[in-house]
Amino acid sequence: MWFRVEPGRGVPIYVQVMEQIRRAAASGLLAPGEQLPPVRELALQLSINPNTISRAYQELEHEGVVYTLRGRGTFVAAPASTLTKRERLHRLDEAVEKLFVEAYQLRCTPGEVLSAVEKKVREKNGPGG
Amino acid sequence: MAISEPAVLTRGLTKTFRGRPAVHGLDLEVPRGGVFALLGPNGAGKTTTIKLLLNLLQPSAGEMRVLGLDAVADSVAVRRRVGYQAESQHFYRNTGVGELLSFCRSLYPRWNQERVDRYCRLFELPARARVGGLSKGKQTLLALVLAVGPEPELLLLDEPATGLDPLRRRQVLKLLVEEMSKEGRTIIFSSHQLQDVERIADRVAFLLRGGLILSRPLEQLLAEEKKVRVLFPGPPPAELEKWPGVRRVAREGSRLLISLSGRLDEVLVRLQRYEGAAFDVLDQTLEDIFVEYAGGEESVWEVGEDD
Repeated sequence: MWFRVEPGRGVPIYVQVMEQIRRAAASGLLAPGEQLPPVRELALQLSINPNTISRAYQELEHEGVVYTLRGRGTFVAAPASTLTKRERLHRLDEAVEKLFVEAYQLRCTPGEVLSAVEKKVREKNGPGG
Repeated sequence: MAISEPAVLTRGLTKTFRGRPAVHGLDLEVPRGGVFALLGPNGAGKTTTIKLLLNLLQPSAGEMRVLGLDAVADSVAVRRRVGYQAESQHFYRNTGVGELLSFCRSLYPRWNQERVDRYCRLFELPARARVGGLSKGKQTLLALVLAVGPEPELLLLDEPATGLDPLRRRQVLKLLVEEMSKEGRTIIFSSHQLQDVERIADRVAFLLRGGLILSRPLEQLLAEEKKVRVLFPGPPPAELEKWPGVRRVAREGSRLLISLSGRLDEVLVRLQRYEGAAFDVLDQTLEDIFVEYAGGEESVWEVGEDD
């Protein structure tokens, strides 16, 4: 499996690999239950340190994007199904935190932030949602 | 031979050539296992350090331990456990590649012929070719194959990818990835190819003028070294240069460019207290960080001097 690795982008390589696996899993290019290449194999193919791949897999497991079966390998998880409600809310909270940092830097008022969120919720839920 | 001892440990290591120090009070510690990149501008002392570790040069002062052994007193035992690829090759030019390989094989109790054959095929090093007839790049590759042949605990590689085209460089990286997977093995290599270093190093050390200026896990280094561009509405805080993590503050017209080493969150919290201050956090590549530490604005780097 090929991933684009760009050293010198200022983004750690494990993050670059994570982004691409996350995106492939979200878009359905990687099916739930599909096995990811073994760490060493992928490291050789991409010519990067195996520890970098391990780190990417570990972080993705922490996020619930993949799961590991001891001695068998790393597999793509079904979307969000592996997360408990508490974990889901925790990660939503982290995302909201990022939104607030951005909003702060943009000098948005609390009202502007709220109405932007409400607008997005209406859009995603469709008419009458 | 305590296994917990680092792969390399030097204390106050110094080497002077005609009174000029090439390595100056170097305290270097390389943990066991993993890939350690030795970086620095030309003349920083990388090659001298590697030669000292192998007792190819004798230190003027200081101590060195390699794989738990005294690098000077036990140098023969050290050499048996270390694979070395020199920056420039001094092979017997009239020897055949195959001849040289079998000679080296006879020197070591352990020798992975299967792997050597595979690398020779990969690098297109025919057994019948004369060593002197190989291109400079291929001589470097041959030296690399000879270094990994005996499956050493420690690999010391002095610019293993210099003068190679992108295809060969990539092959060398794959070789290193394969070789690093051996349990407990340590690879130390020097390089100017910082993008390659970003791909495979676990730790990096910067040498400058014979001394160590930084040694950190690569991921930590990239996570900690940031720049923050700030525009204060009024005069900037007087004590800005003393804020936690601030290494340097440079002026960019009305803006300031703060070089940070860690403590990003603390600095952002402080900046947020300044009403109307605008700021942006900039990631840095290994090359950016290297240039910054190796000279930055003061430009003690060799650019210009050589031209």
